[in-house]
Amino acid sequence: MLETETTTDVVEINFPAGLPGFPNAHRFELAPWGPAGTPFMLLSSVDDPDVGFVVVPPWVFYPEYEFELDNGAAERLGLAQAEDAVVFAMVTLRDKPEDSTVNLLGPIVVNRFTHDAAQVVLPSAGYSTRAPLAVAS
Amino acid sequence: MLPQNRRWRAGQNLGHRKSPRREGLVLVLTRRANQSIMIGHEIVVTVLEVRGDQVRLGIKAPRSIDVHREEIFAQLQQANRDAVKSPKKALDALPDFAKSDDDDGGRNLH
Repeated sequence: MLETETTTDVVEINFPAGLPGFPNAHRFELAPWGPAGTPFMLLSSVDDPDVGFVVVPPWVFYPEYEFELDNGAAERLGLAQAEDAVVFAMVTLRDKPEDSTVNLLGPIVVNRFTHDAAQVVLPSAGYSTRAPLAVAS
Repeated sequence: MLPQNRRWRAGQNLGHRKSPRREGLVLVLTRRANQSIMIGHEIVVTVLEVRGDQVRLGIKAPRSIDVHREEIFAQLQQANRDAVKSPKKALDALPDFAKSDDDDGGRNLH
């Protein structure tokens, strides 16, 4: 498990292939974001201070969320089993908090040991890049 | 006059179009079912079936290379661009409702 319980922990994450739209963004830092107790984290580019993403484990808002990682992606990240991965979803913040959305179609998958990561595409899962955060629970 | 040893199969049409405004070549090829295209030394795109206005393609590529439907990749690109916030801006937009939405307070990161 990536150590995220203490608020001072900053973890370095590397995206060997960059991200769609940001092919040259490789080195990132992952840090807790917001007051203690929020599940949100900030994934910010080490090389470009203007590139940063708010991320959240998708199960916080969608407990049923699941997907199958294709073999190619698993191999690229050196993942032998699901437990080796830590998953985040990108959050798009809007002016009205209740309009904010989470990207379930392209989750961020991180190898918890090597800290290599990639944004994987789940084309056949039927998920949206703009799933509402404000889910009636 | 074409040299005698060069044969062009019926239906095979190879054209190069180099636009001064774009980088790189745009290669236009025509293929039938069961014919293939090589990209580099290791990527093979095969036309498996042509049915009506749909073409079924088989892609063989090394595992280090991602293959996606273009519109899905474009969707992801756009979603990432929408999501980018510089850290300073993001701090102003904390969704308060998310603080204790989950039973375990969001501490159980799976």
